[in-house]
Amino acid sequence: MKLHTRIRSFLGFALVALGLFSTGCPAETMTKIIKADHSIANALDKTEKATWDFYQTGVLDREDYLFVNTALTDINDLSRDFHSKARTYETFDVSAKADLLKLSSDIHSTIATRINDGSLRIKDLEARRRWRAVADNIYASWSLVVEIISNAKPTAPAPAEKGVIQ
Amino acid sequence: MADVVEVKRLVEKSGLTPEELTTLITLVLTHGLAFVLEEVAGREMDKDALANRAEELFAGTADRLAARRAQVEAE
Repeated sequence: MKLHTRIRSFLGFALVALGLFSTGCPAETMTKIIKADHSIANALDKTEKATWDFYQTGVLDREDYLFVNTALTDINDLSRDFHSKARTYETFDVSAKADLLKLSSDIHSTIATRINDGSLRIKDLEARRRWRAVADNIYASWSLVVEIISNAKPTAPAPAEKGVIQ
Repeated sequence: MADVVEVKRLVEKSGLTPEELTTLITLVLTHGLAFVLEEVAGREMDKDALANRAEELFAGTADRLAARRAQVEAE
């Protein structure tokens, strides 16, 4: 295994471990989700800039650039919608957990596919490696969001659903 | 070996240990300096400021993607 692959694996593991370690603190769950959202937004910002650099330097041709642009637009829209929705929850109760877990799990699996499809359009292997190094931060941060939501205990069960999540 | 002297001066000026410096270099090489600096800045913000900053980044990325797509399609 190459050094950069091992480093990326370690960082991915560290992000997930951080998410697992930070569970069980309902009052801080929404703050942790917002922090992970910021990392997703940061990674998307840098991935878009790297993609444009590749187009301008000829690493990506017109057709492949437009393909990757569409993938990033979809990922950005999904992530932004999730962020807007997450901000509307004042507390992390049973209802919030159910809603956010379903939404984040759906987006997480979609994003894995879109990043993979996008990277395959970058034919130069070294350029693809550099693009994946940035774009994988999007996936790792989304993994963290799902882990945080999956493992966090809701602040108070809703009466109609009492005992469902516990 | 003037470069080595300069590196030594910068390491001493930073106050970082060799292990800390290695961690920093690894993060920068793996994720890029701009990504790491934004993450560091984010850790110093409160929840609302961080949420606003995330929205700002999402909006900026959306605007650039749309503008660049239009530019490429027009070429």
